[in-house]
This record gives sequence, structure tokens and C-alpha cells, in this order.
Amino acid sequence: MANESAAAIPAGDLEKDGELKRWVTFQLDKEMYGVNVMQVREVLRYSDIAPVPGAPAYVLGIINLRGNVVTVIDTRMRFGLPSADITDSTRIMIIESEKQVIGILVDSVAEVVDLNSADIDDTPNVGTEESAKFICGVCNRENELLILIDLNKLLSEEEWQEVANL
Amino acid sequence: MSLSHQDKEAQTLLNYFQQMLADRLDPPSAEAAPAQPAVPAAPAAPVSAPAPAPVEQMPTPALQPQPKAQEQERTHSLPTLERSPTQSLEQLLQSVEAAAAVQTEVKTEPETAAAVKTKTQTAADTETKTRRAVQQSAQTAAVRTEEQTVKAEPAPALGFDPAQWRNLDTLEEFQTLFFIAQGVRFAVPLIDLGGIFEYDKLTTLFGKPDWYLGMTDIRGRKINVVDTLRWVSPEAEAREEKYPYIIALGQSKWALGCDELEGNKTISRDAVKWRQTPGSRPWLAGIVKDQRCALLHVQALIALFDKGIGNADLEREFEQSA
Repeated sequence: MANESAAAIPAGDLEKDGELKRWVTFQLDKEMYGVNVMQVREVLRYSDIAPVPGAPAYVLGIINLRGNVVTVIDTRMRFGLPSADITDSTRIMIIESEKQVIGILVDSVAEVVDLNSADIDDTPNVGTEESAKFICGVCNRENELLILIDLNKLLSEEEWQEVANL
Repeated sequence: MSLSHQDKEAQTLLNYFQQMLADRLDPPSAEAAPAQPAVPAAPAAPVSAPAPAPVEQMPTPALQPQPKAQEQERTHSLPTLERSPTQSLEQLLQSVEAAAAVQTEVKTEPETAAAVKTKTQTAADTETKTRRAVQQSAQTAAVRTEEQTVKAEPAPALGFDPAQWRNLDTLEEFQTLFFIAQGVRFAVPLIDLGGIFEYDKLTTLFGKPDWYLGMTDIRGRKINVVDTLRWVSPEAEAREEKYPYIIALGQSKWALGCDELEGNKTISRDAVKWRQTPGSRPWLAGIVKDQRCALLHVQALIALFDKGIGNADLEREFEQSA
């Protein structure tokens, strides 16, 4: 699913010329979210996540992905959402941002959709929460709004560095 | 006899003008010196003409129209404008004195009735120019004072400028929608509304303030829904269920949540106790007296929503500035 050139295309770089972009949709709490398909390497079933002592609160732990250590982020905590139990549909999405490869825990992964970038609207610039800047737009999809996430902003520079040094 | 009497009167008048001109010319060091500093005593000294206009009797720099017969006497009292307290006015009067010096040079010509007329005309022109200049100067001073007053107000940290606030400009009678949000009644001018909608799904966005309920799609438009009572009163309990209706504000992307629509009613401006200053609640246009409810200022609300400002932020800002 991934492409080596994915890192060169920021997910938040929304072009307004009507170009189609593909997004992987996933569910968290009651809402559907989307991330740029070019940033998604693979989707894994939930497996045991080894906690890392002294890691930041938003880090669930690490997993072994074919010999590579991948840090898994608690997406619910990162988005300020209440925690939830692990279910059969819980997935770990392995994503490749501009900085490095990490995993994000989501309630479920839905599908890959094509969205016209002209249909993507901005969200209101309200709120001082750090998490507000993760959202790069919203788009109407089958009578519901899809919240599009800019994965590159999921962590700050310091946090990316912190995760890399785990 | 009558001709001789007229000659005498003409001679008397001519003597009077000559005497007055001599009075002006005699102390050349005091009168002809250009651009004297604004010292109040300087212009009063040479005034010896009969019935001069007392310098203290000019109440303000804003000159009133005077009968033409008095204009010549007024030429003596022009320097009294130096009493104006503003510096710009003093500078202005320095230029007036310079003009008087030029006028003095004109008066060195043979003193004839024509010369007197010329002088009178010149003085009248000078006075007219002075009036305009004084008015402009007074306006400039007023504008400066106003600017200083505005600058003296605390800087709007939230981006809301109280000086820019204007209350609703409505007709004498206007239609108003009354609605209830969590048991509290509100009123809003119907002309400021973009529509009332029912909606199926509200998409919540993380990282937003408590009063931001989420976004919904209304006929292809993404509308941001505000928890009306939570915005007005942050201590209000969080709402468990979504509002059944939303009231879109103008053509903006904002809508107020609403539990019950009470209908619209035509009310007169007298039925509202209008607010004169925004205070800590620029969103409140006034109170509808009969219904005892808040009349919302839609444009102010939209501006506040766009900036992400809640009522709690406004009150905090107001307390800090007070």
C-alpha cells in the first residue's frame, strides 16, 4: 500500500483543483477519519504491544514488525478521546510520516475512498488545543463527514525525536 | 448745510481710520514683527481704537459670522486667538501674525479711503482664512484627541475591538425569532438568519472548545454548530443529546443549537432595551422587555465564533482590562 515517494507528499497539502486523492478511512469513537493512502504502509490486527518504561503517555509501546521495532501511538489519547477496550476490529495502522514509521491504534479500518480535493473543506480555526491542528479538512462522504488527518502533525518535532529515541 | 455736514462726517470717519492705522503702525517693533510667539499680552497693547472688541470676549476659536461693519474692528482682535491652548493653534496664529505684518506693509501706501477699503478687504480675507484655518485646526485637534482616546483603551487581546462595536441597525419594527436552548429563551432578528434546519448527524471534531458541538452537512454546506447555552454560560452542564434544530446565522458557517422554536413576532424598537456599549457581552444587542430575553447580535456572534472566542474569554478579558 505504501510508496517510497509518499513521504514527499504532505497529507495536509490539499489541492483545490479538483484532483482526486485516495484516503484510508478508519473509525475512532463515533467518527470516521481519513489519512492519505500514500502514508499507510500496512494494517495489522491487534497484537500485544510491549510497554516501554518511561515513555510518554501517548506511546502505548512497541511492536516487532518483521524484525523492526515500531512505536505504537495511542490515537485516542492523542485526539483527546476517551479510551476504549480492545475489540476484534481494533487495528494497528503502520504509517510512514515525513519523520519516521510509527503505528497508530484505531478502532477499525473501513475502506479506501477517492475524494475530490475540491470537496474538502477547512474546519473552523477555533480552540487552542494542540490536537486541533491534526485535522486538515472535512469532506462529505455518504451522508456523513469524514475528518481528514494530517499525520505529519500528529507529533511535534520534539515528540518525533522522542519517539525515535525510545 | 446738509452737504457740509456730510463732508464733516466723511472727514471724521477718515480721521478715525487714519488714527486707527497710525495706531497700528506706530509701534512697529511690536506689530510688524513676524511670527511672534503666542504671548497673550503682545496683541492687546496697541489696541487704542474706539470700542475695540475685547480680546477676552471671544469665547472659542470657532469664529461666529459678524456684521460687515464690525469686521474692521475685528482685525484688531484676531491675535486674541493665541489664547487657544493647543499648540497647533498657536502655530496657526503665528502665521496669522505674519500675514498681519504683510498687511502692515500694504498700509504704508498713501492713506486714502481706497486704501482703507483695501485694508478692510484684506483684513476680511485674513479673517476668513483664519476662520477656516482655526476650524481645520480645531478639527485636527479633535481628531487627535479622539485618536488618543481610542489608543488609551486597552489593546484587544482577543482580537475584539470594542470601539468598532455597533448595535443592530433595525427598522422601527422588525421580525424576531424566539427560541429556547436548554430552557433559556433567546431572540434573534429574523433578517439576520440564514435558515432553520433539522439535521441527522453531527460530526464532532476533537481539540475544539466545549461550546463547539461539531459540524453538520446542510445541503452541501458544512455548518458549525454551537452549543448556545454553553457558549453564553460556560458553567452550564454539558449537553448529552444533540439539539433538534439549528439556526444558521446569516450566510456564515455558524449555527446555534435550539431545542424549541417559539415562533417569530414583530416587535418595535421600543420593545427592546438596547445596549449602548458592548461591555463584556458584545453579542448581546439588548433585552426584549416583554419576553425578558436576550436579543442576540448576530454579526458580533459570527465574528466571535470565527475567532474562536467564547463568552468566558470575553468576561476574562473584560475583567483584566477593567
